[in-house]
Amino acid sequence: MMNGIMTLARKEVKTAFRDNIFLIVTGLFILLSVISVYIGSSTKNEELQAYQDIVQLLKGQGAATLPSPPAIYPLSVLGNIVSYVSMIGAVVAIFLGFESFSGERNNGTLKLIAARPVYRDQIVTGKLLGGGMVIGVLLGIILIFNLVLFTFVSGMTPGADEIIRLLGFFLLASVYMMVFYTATMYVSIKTNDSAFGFMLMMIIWLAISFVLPQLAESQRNFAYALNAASQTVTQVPSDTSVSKMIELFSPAVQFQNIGKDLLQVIPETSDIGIGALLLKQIGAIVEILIPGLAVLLLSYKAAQKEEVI
Amino acid sequence: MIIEIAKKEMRDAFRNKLFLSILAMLLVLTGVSIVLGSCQVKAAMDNYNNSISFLQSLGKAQLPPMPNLNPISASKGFVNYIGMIGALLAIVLGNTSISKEHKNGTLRLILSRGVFRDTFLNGKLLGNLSILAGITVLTGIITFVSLIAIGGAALTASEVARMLLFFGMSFLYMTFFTVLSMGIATVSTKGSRALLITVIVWLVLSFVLPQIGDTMDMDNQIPGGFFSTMGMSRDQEHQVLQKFKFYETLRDGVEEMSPTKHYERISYALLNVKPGFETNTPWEVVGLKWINLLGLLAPSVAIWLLTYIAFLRRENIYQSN
Repeated sequence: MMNGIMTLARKEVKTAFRDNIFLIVTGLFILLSVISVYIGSSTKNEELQAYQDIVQLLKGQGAATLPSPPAIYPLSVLGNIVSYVSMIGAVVAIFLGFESFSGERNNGTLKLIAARPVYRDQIVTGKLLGGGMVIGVLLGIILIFNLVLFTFVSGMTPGADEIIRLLGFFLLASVYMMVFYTATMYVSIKTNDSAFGFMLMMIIWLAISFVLPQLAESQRNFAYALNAASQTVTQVPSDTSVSKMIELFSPAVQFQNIGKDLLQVIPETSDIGIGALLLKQIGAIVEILIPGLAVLLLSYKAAQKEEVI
Repeated sequence: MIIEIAKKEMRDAFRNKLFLSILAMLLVLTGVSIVLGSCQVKAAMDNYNNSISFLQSLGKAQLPPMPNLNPISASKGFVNYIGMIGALLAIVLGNTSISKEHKNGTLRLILSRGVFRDTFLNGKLLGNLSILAGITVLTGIITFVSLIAIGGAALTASEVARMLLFFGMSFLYMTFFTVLSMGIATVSTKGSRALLITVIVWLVLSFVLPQIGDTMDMDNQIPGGFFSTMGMSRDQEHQVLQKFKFYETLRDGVEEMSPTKHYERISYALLNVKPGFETNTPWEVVGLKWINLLGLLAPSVAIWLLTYIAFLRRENIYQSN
């Protein structure tokens, strides 16, 4: 039984890495993740340089009080990767899964697979495992690149706590991408037109990743804070019940919230231990898992009822 | 003949389920964002009117002037929706118009009649642009009606002109993606592949490049803003940024490669979302932001010319895919 699943999974991996379009998107994802570390590190370095310039400027103007240096937590240098996984990572998963069933169906290979002693649920499991392996390999490559670049460019060495946080983030990223892969696979089972399925998933991705967060943003309250020293006004957003309600429907927002906490982007949660952090975000984790499990069950059910096979 | 092809294009578009689904989503979101924006304008106006009534009840003779509520900024959300969903809609429209003819074998049929290749492309473009113009007009009407009926805002002539110019920019932005999509579908031999390639280009132009620009923005790296946290005034901020001119130029250069950024910049200036353009006339804003207008127009023209050349020179046009 496992042999059949593993054979399908291996085939899925091979097919993915033979597809030029998928390789382009994957290359883009890896490239962006890598340059985000470089840009993040150099921007932080520029910030520190700017801080020195600000101190010099204020001293020259005879200022009595000087601002304290910006707090830079080691992992925050990698913070931009949260946006890239949420944005491009999800698209990579869509590109990976949109032809998983409809492609096989159109090429006639689905009938061929079904004619072998393989159960339909095994086909779904095999495809899922194959997709998971591809996503795992991609994230593994990005993790290694990030760790190496992080050490070389920022000159900082991550401690055990930072490595655990980083591994936690990549585990979360793989779950998030798998949710999109599973949803795309479900759409692929249900539709014969690959292009239609692909565009449908792109619309869902847009709604989850951009439309809902922006609607939530528009429903936030903005208080105005006056900085006495600079006489500048800063907008301070605060959640409302409506904005929180809208965000509940967006796994992308939940992923970004957990990701930012794990990668020390939010100073308030940067010193909390990973256990306490995950406990604090348990609701957000469940909100990512529930849609994933729902589409997984639907995929098994749809594959059982598939008539084209 | 061009008109005939354009008419057919419009009829086909409204039979395309995917196009209709995205269009419905765009219209719903336009409605939601404008209604929410109009409600905010109405709430601000009610607040002002209540304050005036309260002051009058206290017998105050000197009443504060009405603050600038900037009702046209209610369209801010619409900029983002056009930036994403409008572009996707334009891509589907452009890709389908070419790829369906390849797929169904009707391209050979059309070209075997007395239709020149340039006529064929012009008809397709005219049809698609008419659809985009119709969508722009429809969303414009929804916006104007909502602002007046729900927001209770009385728009000045200048505000109306700014809104009209803004909708013009939205049309140009969607045109770019239709032209790009048609161009890639014309060059490619397989419609579905062309769609995937166009989506990748869209991702790079609309999400990746602006995201890199954001990442390189020093002020974005700390919640609340780096310079604000440091207690710097605008002048001091500019003084410090002068020392990072190369870095800032590089960041700006990355953003300038994105038509989405050009659209966002000129739209925010026209809608007074970005401060500094309140006292300018609508045409002065367009003049000040000419580089963004050029950033929307020039790529469309260039891609369209390349599409012409590629299609006119193509020799395998009668091969089936």
